Amino acid sequence: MQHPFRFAAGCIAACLVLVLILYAFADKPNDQKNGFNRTLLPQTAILSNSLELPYPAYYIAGYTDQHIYLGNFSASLHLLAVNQNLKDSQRFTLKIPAGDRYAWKLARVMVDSPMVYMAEGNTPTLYQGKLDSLSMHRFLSESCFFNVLQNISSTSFISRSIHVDESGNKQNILAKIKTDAPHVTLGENILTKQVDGIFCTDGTLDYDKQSGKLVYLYHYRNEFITLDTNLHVIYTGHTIDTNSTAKIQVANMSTGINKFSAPPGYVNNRARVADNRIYVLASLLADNDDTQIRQQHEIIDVYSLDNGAYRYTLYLPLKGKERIMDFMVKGNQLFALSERTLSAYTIIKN
Amino acid sequence: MLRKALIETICVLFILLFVYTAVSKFLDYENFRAVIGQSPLITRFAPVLAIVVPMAELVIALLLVLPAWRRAGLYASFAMMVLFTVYIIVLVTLSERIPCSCGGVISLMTWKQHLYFNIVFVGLALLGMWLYTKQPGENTTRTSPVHA
Repeated sequence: MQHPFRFAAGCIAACLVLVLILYAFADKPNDQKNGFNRTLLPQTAILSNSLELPYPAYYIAGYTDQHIYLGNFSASLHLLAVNQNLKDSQRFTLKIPAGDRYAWKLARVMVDSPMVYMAEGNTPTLYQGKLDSLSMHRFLSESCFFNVLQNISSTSFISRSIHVDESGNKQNILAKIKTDAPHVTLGENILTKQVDGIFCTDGTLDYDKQSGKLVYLYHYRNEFITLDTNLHVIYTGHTIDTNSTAKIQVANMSTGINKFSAPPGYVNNRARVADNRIYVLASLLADNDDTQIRQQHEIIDVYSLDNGAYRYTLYLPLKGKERIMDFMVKGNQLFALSERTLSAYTIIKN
Repeated sequence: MLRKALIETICVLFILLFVYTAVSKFLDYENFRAVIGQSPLITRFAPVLAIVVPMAELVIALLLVLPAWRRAGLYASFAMMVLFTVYIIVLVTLSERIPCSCGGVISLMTWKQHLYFNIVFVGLALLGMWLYTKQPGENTTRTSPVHA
């Protein structure tokens, strides 16, 4: 009778040892020196307010002078407006014509007062409406398929779409979509292929209304591209780490879908542009960073929008254990979104 | 009788589980191979494990089918499920990014459900092992003539 339990205990111990050995020998990000340094004069960000969100899976849809608008990945028509000091929040529902069909799981809302847009790139479908009425109607049916969309004015958008060349190679490409003809203009040779064309060019796009500049930041290499709204490259900048080539492995499935076949070397999470600065949420530790800093902080490197030069680093103290998924900067305030919390930080200029 | 029925049920559940998961892994082999490569713990062994894991599952299912090997099969099932469970726990607690083919929020839920599911099966295997060790005395005297 004792036998099976002795076996069970031995088995659990053996499995634990085996898996821990695997873990000990696994490649972990930030395990080795990354070969770069951050400036020794960091600016500080102080957590001033935070708000528990009613649901998970929010993203930042935009902001006005008074409010920050959050959209939700799992409820495409839901919109949450939060005021500047995070004290008051209001829930809204976008109104679309009854019976309208679209790929709602992929739909994203963009708030650009006085307008609000909802777009989904698989059909593709774009909706437009006024922020005060929230009744949405379809427009720009001449657009192209896309996997990222950024509104730049009420008549034009920048998309990231998949371009297929004559030999069938797929690659991400930036394009401009406008309400007047030609509706779609491709931005050739802006995103550069390093591995597979899709994953290796993945990244985030942000637009700064004030300067009229767009910044595309790659996830897996130390590079960002600053563009004007006609998709002319102003310059190519580099983040301070040393990953000039994407460290990713991609397997080609016979179904035509590609998948990572090894953990990707994530470098940069997200870029946001504000007040002539590019804010980059970084994943890698510098050699002069405290090795434990990311346990309780998020690291944001700040670059000049004029020429892409590195300025300084902001260390954001995390509230709780949730990592930041998205953020935005407005004046001296930084709003950071995690799974269930929206937090406001005040940036202290030294 | 109840004990025998319980053992039979547990064995059938494990056979179904292992055959089903092994076959689905083989059917979707290239995808399975890519996705397990994304796990930081086993990236290096992914090509080997992609074959060894489903093969081992089929072998265990076979052991459970053959009465003479059923006891060994139950022990092996237990070992396999403990290994999977420990692997999940270590991956979820120690790894910063959990590799999963589905997106953020959903994958988190799935891992948790997966964990509960595994723990239930670990419990079942343990129960099977325990029942089996209590059984041999009766097994030889009473039940074999019925079968014969």
